[in-house]
Amino acid sequence: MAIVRSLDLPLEQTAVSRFLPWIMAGLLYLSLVALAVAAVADGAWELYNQRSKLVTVTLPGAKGNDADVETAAILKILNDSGEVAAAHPVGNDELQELIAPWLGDAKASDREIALPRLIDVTLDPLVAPDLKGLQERLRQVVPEATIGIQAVSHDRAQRQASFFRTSGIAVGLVLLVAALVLVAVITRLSLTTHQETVALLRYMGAQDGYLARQFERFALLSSLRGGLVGFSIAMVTVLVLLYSIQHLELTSTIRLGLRPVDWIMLACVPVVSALLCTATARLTALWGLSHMP
Amino acid sequence: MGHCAIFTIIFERIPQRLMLQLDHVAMRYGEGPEVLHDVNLSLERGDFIFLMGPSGAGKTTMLHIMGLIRMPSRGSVRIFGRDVADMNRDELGESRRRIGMMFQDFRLISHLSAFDNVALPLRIGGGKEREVRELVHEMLSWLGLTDVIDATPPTLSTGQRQIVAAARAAISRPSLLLCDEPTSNVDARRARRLMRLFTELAKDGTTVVLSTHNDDLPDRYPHPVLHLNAGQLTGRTLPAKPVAAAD
Repeated sequence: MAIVRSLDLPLEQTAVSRFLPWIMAGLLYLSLVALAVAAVADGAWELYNQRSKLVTVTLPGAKGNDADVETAAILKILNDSGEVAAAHPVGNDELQELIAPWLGDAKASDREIALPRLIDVTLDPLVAPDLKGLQERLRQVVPEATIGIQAVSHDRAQRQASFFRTSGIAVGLVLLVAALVLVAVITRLSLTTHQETVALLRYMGAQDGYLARQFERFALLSSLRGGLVGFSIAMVTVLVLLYSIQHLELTSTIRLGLRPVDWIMLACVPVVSALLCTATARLTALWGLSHMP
Repeated sequence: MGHCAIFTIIFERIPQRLMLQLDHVAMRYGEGPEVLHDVNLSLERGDFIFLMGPSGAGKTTMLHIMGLIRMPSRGSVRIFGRDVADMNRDELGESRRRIGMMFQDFRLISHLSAFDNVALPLRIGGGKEREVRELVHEMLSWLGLTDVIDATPPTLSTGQRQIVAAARAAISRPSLLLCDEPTSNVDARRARRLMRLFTELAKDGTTVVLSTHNDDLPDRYPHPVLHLNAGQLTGRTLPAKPVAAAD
């Protein structure tokens, strides 16, 4: 005797509903990949967002007391500015490290190269910065002072990340909604296909709630089975994609990946979609039954 | 608790003798001719009657009206003390759960095993799965169907399907048991088993109506016979002393 009780309605054996688990697997697979792309893009967007809050002030190379006085004056202007959260001069050792790939082991001082002075500036995230105005004020002290704005390239990348995030979420949600619509349509068609059996069960006293549970159980089992298959394949795909994009040019500036919270959210998608499919099947069945004689 | 609720409880605890009452019931399918005319009938708790008549006399239609499967075109049906016309969908379902119906064409669900088919009324009634298993096993083993308990209806013989249908109708010990030609396809030994089952249920208070055109049954079992001819009840007779029916 079967351990798992059969459904009273032959929903697993009829053409209209037999392929539901596989269709669910396909839709969930696509939805998960889209949502994973959205999550990666969201992570990238966050990183770009943090980076766009960092700028570098560059002062021309100088030596001696004049250099220290200039640097101190520039730091004062920066720290007094409402737009700046923090400003730190880049240390000599760090500077040497930065140029090491070009100069090799020889130190810049050995070659008498006047290195520019760099100041890392963290902008206040709550204030919209006027970098041009700030640069003008710095130039009143050091005429050649520049604010290195990498934000232009960051802005483009951030816009792309934002686009992928929005598109990924939209596609993922549309696919999930498509799965729910599919469950509703299949439930309605199954109700029509099996109306004789439904009538027989009603003659035995089955209430609408009992009959709706048949569709509910079928939708739950189908979406869980399909969800498990779709989730497994989607995770393999996502891992392959993540491995592949490490080699893209984009990753030279930031490291793309999924955060722990992203993995948890992706793992929740099959469960949530199964519950939504179950509720959809129940509501559709109850609605259909209430319209049957 | 309001007066209505108290009244309902008291009312439900009073044993109701009258199970079913048909008053001037007539039936017509669509625009066709009437297949039942002015049928009047009252059945009490524990009554056991045969409904006899030639093919096309309206026996099945009458059983369907008694089983709340069809509503009459005219007249009224009162069952378990309530007028069917006043029942809402839930109340209709509640009353139907107290009726066991054995269809002439069995109407077994073909993808379900014999066990699951018989278990249906118990599960619909919300029975606990352990009790359902016990009762169904007991019933099928008593009817000699343990070897086909997992078989689906298409793999069963006509006689076996008929017994499964009878078991399904009787499994919940219904208040009203309606059987349409229950012994037409089974051998004599199994027919006696089925009749014994129906008799035992009637002794426990089930009202049993058996439709048959087999003269042999009323001759063997001492129950009143209602004669239906061309859609009209034409008489009610008691058979002569029954032939002893060995189990």
